[in-house]
Parts: sequence; structure tokens; C-alpha cells
Amino acid sequence: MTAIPSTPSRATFLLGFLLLAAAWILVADIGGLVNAILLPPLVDVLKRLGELILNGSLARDLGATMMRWAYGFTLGVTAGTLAGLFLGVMPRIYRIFEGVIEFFRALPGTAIFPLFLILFGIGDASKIALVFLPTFLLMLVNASYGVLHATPERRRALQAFGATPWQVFRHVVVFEALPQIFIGLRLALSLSLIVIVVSEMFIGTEVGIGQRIYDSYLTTAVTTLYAYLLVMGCLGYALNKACMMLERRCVFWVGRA
Amino acid sequence: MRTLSAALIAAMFFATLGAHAAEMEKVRFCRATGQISSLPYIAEDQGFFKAQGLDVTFLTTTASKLCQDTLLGNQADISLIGEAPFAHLGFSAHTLRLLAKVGYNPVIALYARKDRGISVEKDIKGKTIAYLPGTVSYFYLAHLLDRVGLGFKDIKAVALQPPAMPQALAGGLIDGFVIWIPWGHMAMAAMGDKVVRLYDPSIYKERSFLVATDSSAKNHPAIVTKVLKALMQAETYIYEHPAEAKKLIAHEINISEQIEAEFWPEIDFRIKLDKKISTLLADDAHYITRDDPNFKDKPIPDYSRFIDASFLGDVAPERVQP
Amino acid sequence: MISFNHVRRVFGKNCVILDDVHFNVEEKSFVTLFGPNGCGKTTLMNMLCGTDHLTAGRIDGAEALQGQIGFVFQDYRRTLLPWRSGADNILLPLQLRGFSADAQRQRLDDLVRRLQPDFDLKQKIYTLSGGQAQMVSLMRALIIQPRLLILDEPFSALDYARTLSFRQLVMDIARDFGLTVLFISHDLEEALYLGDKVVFLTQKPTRVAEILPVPIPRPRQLTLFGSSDFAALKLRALEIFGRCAGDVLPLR
Repeated sequence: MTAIPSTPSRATFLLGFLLLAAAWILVADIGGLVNAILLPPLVDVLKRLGELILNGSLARDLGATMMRWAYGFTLGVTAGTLAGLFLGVMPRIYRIFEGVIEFFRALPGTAIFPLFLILFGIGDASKIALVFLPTFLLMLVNASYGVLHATPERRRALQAFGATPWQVFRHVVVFEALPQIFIGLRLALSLSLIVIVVSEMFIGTEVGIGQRIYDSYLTTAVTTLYAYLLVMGCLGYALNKACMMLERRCVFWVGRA
Repeated sequence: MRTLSAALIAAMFFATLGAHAAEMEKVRFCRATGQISSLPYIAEDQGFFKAQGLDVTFLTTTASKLCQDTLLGNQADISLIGEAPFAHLGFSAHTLRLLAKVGYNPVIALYARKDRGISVEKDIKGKTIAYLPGTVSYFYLAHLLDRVGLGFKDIKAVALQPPAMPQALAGGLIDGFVIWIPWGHMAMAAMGDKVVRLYDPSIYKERSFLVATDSSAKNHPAIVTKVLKALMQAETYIYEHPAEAKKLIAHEINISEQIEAEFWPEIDFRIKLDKKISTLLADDAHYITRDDPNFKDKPIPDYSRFIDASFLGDVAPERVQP
Repeated sequence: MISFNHVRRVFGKNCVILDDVHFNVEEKSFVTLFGPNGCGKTTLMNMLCGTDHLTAGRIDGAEALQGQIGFVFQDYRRTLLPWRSGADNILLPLQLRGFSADAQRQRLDDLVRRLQPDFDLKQKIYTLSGGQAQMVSLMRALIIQPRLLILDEPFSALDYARTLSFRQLVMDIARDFGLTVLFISHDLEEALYLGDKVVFLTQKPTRVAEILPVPIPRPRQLTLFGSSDFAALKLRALEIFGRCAGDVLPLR
């Protein structure tokens, strides 16, 4: 298990973004080297972003998208982790379902969209369900993997102390599974953000970032499209960072033990 | 000995074929599946492209907007693009060239639930109506609202993907939707006479345009001209053999001939060019700036700068009206 | 105190690990088990603790000792809990038994007073050195005030200096706490130095090759290694080992 990489200094961190911005300005704003349809000037994109923030539409759309995502993600993480922990301590039952679980995990999420559309309709339910499913499966697989690969010596040590199976689970198994659970969590986070935006684009919604991105595409409003992409990029980055910070706090022993 | 002779003959045969193929000029034609591509379907089927010495590679998409993007990305040379995406594109700096206009009919209509109190167009006041932004669906709805003295503020307009529309209508999430075939027919098939179809092509007629990339027009004008000629041959064929043409196109776009027969008479397949086009596009642009916050306060583009009458002018000058 | 009576353990259909293991462990004695890797020493201990079953034979006295056996494992890193502090690791057996917080604190204070570890027990395990972690492991075994202390090659991962000091510590603890000790070792000198007797085990299928008494008085010091008595004992041990190692050990 490799240690969680330490954070770069603030200066190094900002430098990367500044270089990217400089390259963008050089290529698009100043140099005009690329067609504005493909890459609009950074200044225009930032201006448009400002407009979207000030007129309140960004907050409204982002709020709606994040609400749907939060429901699906929270449900998926909770249910998946619990199911994974349960299956992990019941390896015989896990083996029965292993093939089925892998089948659904291998199924591309986008292939399931039409089915969920039929099952859950075009409202929030289908989008929440589309976020829930891959999250649930990822957490289930990772949680059960974490349990199945828990250090056997630690389990035996506790058994030698006279621990009951529940005590072994509570004091050792859950903690042993945590690093793998967090791996699943980070994967589920990235995937679920993709799914919520794509499901809004595919199914359509009155309020939501995915819809706004798709509208911008349909009407060739490229500056607006880039503004939304910037927002989604920042959001994904922030959520990932938050997840890593949580991981560092919760599984502080990884890479050190 | 016999094996050697056979091998020699085969080699000569394929060499001849290869030589013949080398004389054919290559062109990439992006084709959206739908009635918009009637002319290239006929031209391919009847061998008109080959007759012009063209080796055409067809790139197939589900919508002409995607064809437009393909042209912008220089992944194709020429295509037929719907008026709606082209009008929106006018607000961006691009170098695509509009060579000619071809009429087509997306058969766009308003489908609505009678049990929500909608039996004529003006009944949509206060109702939830779905449409697809950036497409003819939007323009039809915008003009329909104008026709009955309403605005977008008088309805609840919801953006939806076409496949979701019949389901949304059946589930009661919307009261109606504005879309092209076959989605509307799906709703009618599912809900029977609970759904009313309000079809009035006089509300808004979308056109399609033959559009080429700047590099194709500049560097391979002969090829572009040949494509134009092949399409004009297809146009002649359609008017001379309407039954066969109808059958082929219905088969290509996978709709019943019965449905096709409904809108066939309204389509003007004739390839032409007139200066009204830039006025029509400017009118579309006016609606865009009025209704889409992404384009509010943007100046109306001068669409005449995208029009290139030289190709049609060379082939059939009588079809170009200045 | 404990009697291993013709203990047999077979894995699967016919993988015989322990064939016929037969020896006694007297109360308050220090018994060392010496045998090659894979001969089933750990399996034997697991059976004693009740975490593994016997195929045949019996272990008398084992049941009476349940809950009073302290275990010090070979790989302390993999048996200590890295998400807990040293103190929390030590107190774990008491927590499992439902001891109150006060009772836990009292026992820990008592143990710390007696053993005087020279590091902060509030630190997380992964910050501790090998020797410090093994000390935690030892204290964890002693916190339940066991009657029997089992140590399974506990010093194999420590450096020489620490190994020497821990050997003395274990002997002192055994004496001061009045413990019976079962010590598994793969170091012949260590087995002789620590034990009242050394039980020599053969390779699989394992039997007791011989039991060698070590009649050297306690307390024992490091100077013992240089004595002629010890040398003679070691020679005798090597002879026994040569017999049970078979073709592993070249005698010439």
C-alpha cells in the first residue's frame, strides 16, 4: 500500500495553473492561433463565468446538480460499503455473487441510461439512480476486497485474546478495510460526477449543469461551454481534495505501519 | 502453368481496378440520418457520385449539428446542414461556406395531451412544453408562440432530449412537446387519442444548406462542383421517379412510407440560392438573441459573408438569384 | 500444568503436520520449543489457545487455561493495530473482556510501573521502533495477568542488542510474575539459554525428537555463553539437532 502523496507547496501548486492560463492566453487571446470555436479567449470565458455567477443561474444549476449527485452518492456509498463489509465477512456468499457483481460493474454506465429512463422516468429519480448504481458497485467491490484481504495475523491475534467474531470485525476488519474503502470512494467520486453531468445531458432537465452544458453545445455557445467546464473542473478538484484530506485523517497509518 | 496464367490475369485485373480507383477523386461527405440527406441517399444509390468520378466516404451522424461540428473539425469536406445549427454558428467566427439551399421537412409538430386542456395551439398558455434548444424544435415553438400572441414567459418551456419526450408526456411531467418525426408518432402510438398532433408547416419551415469547408472550396473546387452536380442529378431523379425515390428514402431513414407520403408534397428538393437566405438566417438570429441568455445583446451576424454563390453559379447560374 | 498427549494434526486429506507430539509443561517452568521452519510450532500453539482444533490426541490443562494465556507473536507489526496507540493496543485484551475504563487504567499503570518502558505509550504504533513495538506486544500479553505466557519467535525481527536485553527481560518477568512460559525459538543457543528444558521437534510429520533438560541455575547471565557447561550442553543439543534435521544439516 503506497502512502498518500504529500501536498505540494502552495507556490508549486499555483505555478502549474498559472502556466496553463498563460499558455491559453498566448494561444487564444493574444496569438489567435486557434479558432475561437475550438478555444475561445480565456478573458471571454472568465467574463462569461462572472456573468453566470452574478445573475444567479450558475448557483441554481450547480445547486440542482449537486443535490441530485449528493443523494445518489451518499446512498451508494452507504449501501455499497455496508453490503461490501457484509459480503467480505461471508466469503462463501461473496463467491456466489462475485460473477454477477463483476458483470454489472463491467456494464458501461451509459448503456444502462435507457433502461433507467424507462424504470425511473425523466425526473430526478433516474439521475439519482444512475449515480447510485456505479457508486454502490464500486464501494461494494472495494469494501469486500478490503475485508477479504485483511491481515489474517491480526484477526488470529484477536481470536487468541478470546475475541468474538463481532469483536474481530469491529476492532480489526473494519479498520483493515478502510484504506481500500477510501480507494473505492475516490473512484466513485470521480465516476459519479461524470455520471450526473452525462445523465442530465442525456435525459434532460430544467435546471442542472449537464443541461446547460448540452444547451451550450447545441447552440454553439462555446464561451459559455468553457465557463461551465471550468466550473466542473474546479468542483471535481475540490471534492477530490476534500476526499483526500478525509482519507489522510481517517487512514493515517497507511504507508507508515 | 495454368495456375501461373490465372495468377497473371488476376494481377492484371486488380491492377486495372487500382488504376481506375486512382482516377476517382476522394471526398468525405458527412450525412445525418434523416430526410435531410435525401439527395445524397439517392445520389449514392443511383451511382451519381461515381459517374462524376468521385470516391465518396460517408460519415454518418444522428444530427446535422454533428455534421457541422465534423466540418468545423475538418474531419469532413462537405455536408447538408440544418438551418437551426447554422444560424447559431453565425455568432461564432467560422469559415464554412454555404453553397446552396435545399428544402427539407423535419415534420415538426406540437404533440400535446388533450386531457390537459390542449386542443389548439393557443391552449398551451400556462402549460409545460418540452423542446430541444438550438434546433428547429426551438424555432418552431418560438414562431408558434408568436402566431398565437404568446411568449416564452406565458409557458413553462423545458429542455428535453427527444427520446425522453414521449415518456415525459405519458408520465404527465409535461403537457406537450415540439419535435420532429418519429418521436411524436411514438407518443401517439403509445397514448392513442389522448394526444393531439398540431401540425402546421406554415408556422416555420426549416431549410437545409449544402455547406463545405473553406479548405475544400479553396483547394479542391472541382471536387465540390462535382458533388453539387451529383446532387442535382439526384434532385432530377426525385422529380422523375418519385415513387422509387420515396421508397428508397423511407428505407434509408427507417420510417414507413405512409408517414413519408404525408410530408413528401411539402418538400422542395430544388437546389438553389437566393439572397433571401441571409435575411431568413438574420431573422433566426433575432429570435436567438431574444430568447437565449447566452446570446443576449450580441449583434445580429451578417450571414451574407458565409454565402458562396460561385459554385452553383458555375453549374446552373439560373438557380442563383442575387 | 499442560500435557500434550500424542497430539496429531492433519490438514486436508493427508497432509500430516503434527504426527505424535507428546510432552509436558510444568507449572512455573520455562519450556523452549526448538524445531525447523514449518514443523508446526505455531499450529501447536494455536491448538493450545483454542484457535485451531486437534485431529487426534489431547492437550490436558488447556481448557482450564482459557482466558489466562498471554501471547507474544513473531511478527508484531502484523499483530499490533497501527490505528491505535501503544497504550490502546496494550489495553485491547481488557476491552474485549469488558473491563471498565478505571480497571483498565489501573492495570496499565501497574504494568508500566513494573516494566518501566522508556517511551511514550500514547504514540501511535507506527511511530515506534521495532524494540518499542515488541515491548508493547509483550505488555499486551501481560495485561491480562496470564498464568501461561507463550512467545512465538518474538525476537526474530530485532537487532542483536535488543534481543539480548529482551531475553533478560522475559526471564525476569517469568520469575517476578510467577509465569509458566512456552518459548518457541529457532536459535539453538537462545533455546538453551532461556529454557529449563528444550523440546526438540523433528521435521514434518513432526514428533518430539528429544527433550533436553537444562539444569543451569537461575538467574542466568550472558557470561553463561562462555562457560564449559554451556558448551557441553550445546554440543549435546547439536547432536540431537543433527538427528532430527536429517539431510538439511551436513554433519561433516
